[in-house]
Amino acid sequence: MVKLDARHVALNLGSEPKEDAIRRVGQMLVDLGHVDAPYVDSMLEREASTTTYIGNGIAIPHGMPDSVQYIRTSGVVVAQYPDGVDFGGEKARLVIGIAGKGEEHMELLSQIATVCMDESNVERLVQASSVDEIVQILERVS
Amino acid sequence: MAMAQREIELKNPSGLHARPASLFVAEANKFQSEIFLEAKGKRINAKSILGLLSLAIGQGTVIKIEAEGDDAEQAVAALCDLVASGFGE
Repeated sequence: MVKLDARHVALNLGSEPKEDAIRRVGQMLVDLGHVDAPYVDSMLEREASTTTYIGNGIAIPHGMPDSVQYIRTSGVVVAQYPDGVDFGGEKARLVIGIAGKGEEHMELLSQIATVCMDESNVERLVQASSVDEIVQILERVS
Repeated sequence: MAMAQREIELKNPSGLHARPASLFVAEANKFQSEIFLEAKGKRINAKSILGLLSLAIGQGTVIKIEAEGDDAEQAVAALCDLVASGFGE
């Protein structure tokens, strides 16, 4: 299940290249102890192989399947980009870094997708001005 | 309006996670038909990665692929081939 606190959320970031955005959310996962540093390289590798942009202004960078060894505990971090980050011609306004161990990977994807299928939820996430709002919207679904 | 549907079991070990979901949607978007995927009692638009991911379809799950449109038969056949291939995993 998605479990967030203030350290898992970065609000109102200026637009930047997608590699920088991926390094940013990757570093948040590292700093929070969810993953070891090589996981971030794997996130960049994954993005280069197939984009993690999944529609509705959402990208969900995560490592390649063989990078699960670098995940210590499952975790999700959220970076909010009001002006978007260019993911191969698509504009991601939320970049959600994911580290999911085993079954938890699919559960996290499902939870995030269930919230973000509803464009009004995405709009609220993009406009949220406090961590609490982000947490409430993303954690509500179970 | 032509319609087609088929059930198929998902074989790839890690289930329908982000990469196979993206491949599935890219294939579905090659067809003009409306395409739906049904699994675990839910029915979603098969041209939406978010929709597919929301279902968290694991290995061994039987999914139903339905298409409505002039190229419905071809769409269902192509998508079933992709699922049967295990998405190259």
